[in-house]
Amino acid sequence: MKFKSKFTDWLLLLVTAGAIILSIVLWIFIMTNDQRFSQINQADSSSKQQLKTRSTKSLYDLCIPTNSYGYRNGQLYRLYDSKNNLSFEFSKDLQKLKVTSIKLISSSQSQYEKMLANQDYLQLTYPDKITFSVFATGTSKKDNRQLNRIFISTTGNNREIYVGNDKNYRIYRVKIKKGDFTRLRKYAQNAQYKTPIKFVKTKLGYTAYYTKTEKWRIYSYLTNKQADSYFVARLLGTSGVSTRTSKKGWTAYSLNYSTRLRVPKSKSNSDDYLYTHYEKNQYVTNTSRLLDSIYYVHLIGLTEQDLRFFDADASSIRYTNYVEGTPVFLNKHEVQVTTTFSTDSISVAFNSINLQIPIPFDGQTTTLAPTSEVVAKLKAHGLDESEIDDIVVGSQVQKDSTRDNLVNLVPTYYVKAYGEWKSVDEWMKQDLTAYRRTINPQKSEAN
Amino acid sequence: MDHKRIEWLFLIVFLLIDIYLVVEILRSPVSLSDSTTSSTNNSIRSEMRADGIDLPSKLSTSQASGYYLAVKKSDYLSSKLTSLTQVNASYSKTDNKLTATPKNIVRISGSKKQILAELNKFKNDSRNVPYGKQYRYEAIMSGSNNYTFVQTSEYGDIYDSGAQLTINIKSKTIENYTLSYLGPVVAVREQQSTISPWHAVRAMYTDRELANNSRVMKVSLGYSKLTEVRGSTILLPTWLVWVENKATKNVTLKRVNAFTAQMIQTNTTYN
Repeated sequence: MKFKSKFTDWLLLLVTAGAIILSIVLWIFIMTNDQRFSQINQADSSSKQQLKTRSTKSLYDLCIPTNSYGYRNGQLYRLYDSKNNLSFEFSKDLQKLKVTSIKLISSSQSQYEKMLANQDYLQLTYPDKITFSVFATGTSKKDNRQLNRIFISTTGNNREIYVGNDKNYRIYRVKIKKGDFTRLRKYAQNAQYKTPIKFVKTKLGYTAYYTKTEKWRIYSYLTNKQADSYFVARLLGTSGVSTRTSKKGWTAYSLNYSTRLRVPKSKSNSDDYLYTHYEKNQYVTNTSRLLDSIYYVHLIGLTEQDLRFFDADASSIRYTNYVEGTPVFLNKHEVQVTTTFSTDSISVAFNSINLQIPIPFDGQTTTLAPTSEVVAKLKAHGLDESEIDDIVVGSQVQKDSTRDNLVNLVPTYYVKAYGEWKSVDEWMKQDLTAYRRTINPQKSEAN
Repeated sequence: MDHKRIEWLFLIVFLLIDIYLVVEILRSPVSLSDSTTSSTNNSIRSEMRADGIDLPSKLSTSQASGYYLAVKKSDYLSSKLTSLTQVNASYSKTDNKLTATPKNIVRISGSKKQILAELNKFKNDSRNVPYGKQYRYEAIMSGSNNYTFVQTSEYGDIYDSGAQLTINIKSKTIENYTLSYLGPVVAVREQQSTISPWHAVRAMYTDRELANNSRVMKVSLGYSKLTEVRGSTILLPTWLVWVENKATKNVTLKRVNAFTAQMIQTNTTYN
């Protein structure tokens, strides 16, 4: 009898302990299952997705490679053709194909550099790293491995491509079905513009350095912009919105204390808006961050015709317009949309200016020196090559004096260093000691 | 005994918590994306059906591509008058239109196919029609006695009254023709992706541009005038949607900006 009672006691203890352990396990499972969270995020987006306008286009329009490179007689060129847009052609091919397997084949720097120098491959690059899950169909939704470079054989192999990550030198062999790059190869072969370049290792990857002095075209656009009310209606809705003007003259619209939109000062020439949405965030993966930022880009309702994924770092993802293969910088060095994530809010800083009507090219050009000369100039000023994250030729938006809404896009070098994009002229005027001071303590901590 | 009671209480509470957590895990979160998008599309389709709007059997959901194009404004036709040796031609500078009547009778007869072959032969002869080879027959804009051709380019066809050739037939002979010519087109910017034809029709419907009891006859990509800037006409790709009113049988051509899905308000009606 006593034995039976003791046995029941033990059993009760065991079952209770089991129930407690099980509840802990289940709780941990729920808390750590990012797929679940990302699905909840997406579910949230899906209901919000009803708000998306008809102007919204696919993910493939926002996240596409922006540069193409290829070898001709041993020389590496940046390939560009406005009639047969190579990036766009690749994006079309990408939408048709299906990835069947991804295999890591190398992660050494020497192998990576050998691949960069392999003349049998066309190379297409994204401005920054994206994840496999948003790269093409057939990849796992959980695949957060990053890539920024695609190698396509020039010899006609449509069954596999190679994909690389400049930062960690990883090369993956990607087997594909329904891939056909025949047209892309043909377009690359006959590309209208071929600019000689070489790849140089910078802090975040391999950057194309222009090896010769080049003439770059200055394009012009007629611009327009939406009224404040358009963005208020899109981002906050039409009911329950309150307005508040701060002492400094900023007007902010808010909804339920959780969502806020700061509009440009009425008498200023600024077109900069700041949207903030307060909510607890769990951005566990790069993919969920990227997808969420895309959702917010769509939500704003800007014209997305030329808008492309441009740059991503630990807290922000940036989008900007690309015109004839170069990124557009507004107000000296700003991009069109910057989404910033923190644990308790998402903020989206955007500029409402829209490059609406392209004006026929009138022959105006500007001459840019080889990239290495520019880098040497920066070095002499105190910005060492090792501090440069990236250097690109971008188009600076400059207002035309002849007409109010006419802008010229003037190509100039832009450099990302210490996490900031600035034109070379701006860096040259910048006192760099403050930057070095902020960066050095971190370095010493890291060491 | 108390200890045992507490243990039982713990067991019950934690079992309830376990059940709740399992239910939470099994309860599948609402799923996003394709299914939602396609169901939205399906519901719009059924709404359209309920409004008596008929759509073509195959309306693509694939994106296409296009360019911003520019044409320099100039009198392209007046200088060609002297080379038109087989027609009596006059040119109106105010509306940039050339009207011509064949000097000799040009007989047009036979089946539709034969008629078209004859007309193509006529217009492709530069002594009859300047730039004639650049024009392509457009059935939906033509009637039984008038045949309309649109100006083509290496980027696509231009649908504009300033880029059109209309040949009028009377008593099985070519009576006359009117011609307008925009000029040679060049791409202003690089090739870009456009929305799909279905996307364009959906945008028209949500913008109340598709009346009830109408039939979408055809959706095709063509270039339309956007604006004039610095002496050039800017063209952009548009989805051309031909809509027939089921009651009156009137056909209206509506244009949707293929880059932004906005309506372009230059509708043309054909009877």
